[in-house]
Amino acid sequence: MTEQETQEELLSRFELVEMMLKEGRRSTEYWGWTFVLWGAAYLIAIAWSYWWRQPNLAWPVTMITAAVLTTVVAARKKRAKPQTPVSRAIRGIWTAVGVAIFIFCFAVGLSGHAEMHSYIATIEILLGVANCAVSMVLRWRGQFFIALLWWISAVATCYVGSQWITPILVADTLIGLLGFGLYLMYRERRDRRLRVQHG
Amino acid sequence: MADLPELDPVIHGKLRLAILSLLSSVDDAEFTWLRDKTGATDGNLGAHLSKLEEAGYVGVEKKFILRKPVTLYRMTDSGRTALAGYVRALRTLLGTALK
Repeated sequence: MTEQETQEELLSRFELVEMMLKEGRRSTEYWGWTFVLWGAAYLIAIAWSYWWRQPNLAWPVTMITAAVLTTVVAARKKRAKPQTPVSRAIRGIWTAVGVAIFIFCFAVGLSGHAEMHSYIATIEILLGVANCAVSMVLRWRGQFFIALLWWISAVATCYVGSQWITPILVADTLIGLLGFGLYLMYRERRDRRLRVQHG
Repeated sequence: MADLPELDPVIHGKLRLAILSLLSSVDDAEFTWLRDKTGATDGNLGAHLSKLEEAGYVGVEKKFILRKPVTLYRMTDSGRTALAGYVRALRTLLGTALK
């Protein structure tokens, strides 16, 4: 083997390492569906609490159902793709914030000390925290705007009259959960199609 | 003239190098994922994974996820050190060709 051939061989090894590292890191998990699921759950809970029987059960039932669905589907998806440090960080942020919201809602709900303005504003603040942290992990400005939306809504919720709390929450849900989730799913679909095209 | 570094023969094979590079970027991976990413056949991939396991570069864990048996491969600390050393040696050997 000539010196040039040896060098080409070594260079191909180096390129292989770079390509495989990139390929491994590209194993992003797709999370758009969770935003859509939780957006739908929020809207169902709001509608149920206004227009259906047993309004006290609306939020606990829909939230627990959504949490169970998220856990089961995420566990199935986790099998197919390995986790990267980034995906673990994102999973950690949402799990921590999700658990915090659950504890807060149940504690305040059961204690009977809920004041609607601060109750909803706290949930909006926490959702803003999760979106902001994830946007920093992903270095993605788009998700940071969603965090800002939740935080602005939280401030607005503290100041508006009671009749405006639900419309603000519905608007947030439509934009920050349902709309954002659908946009993510569109991007993920496009990403998958591109990967198939480029082999 | 300074001595040129030697390349670790366990990693030097293309498939084994690809496997280690992939495993270095994830926490752990299933056999099927490694097969899809490398394009290797089951037999070939299994044989090379065994070599890496024998060398102590890859660890294997069998567990049940949602009641289904899953074999997970994970890069060990010595595997990480070996890959880093291999890349360092490659850089030295290639020298200016990389620029």
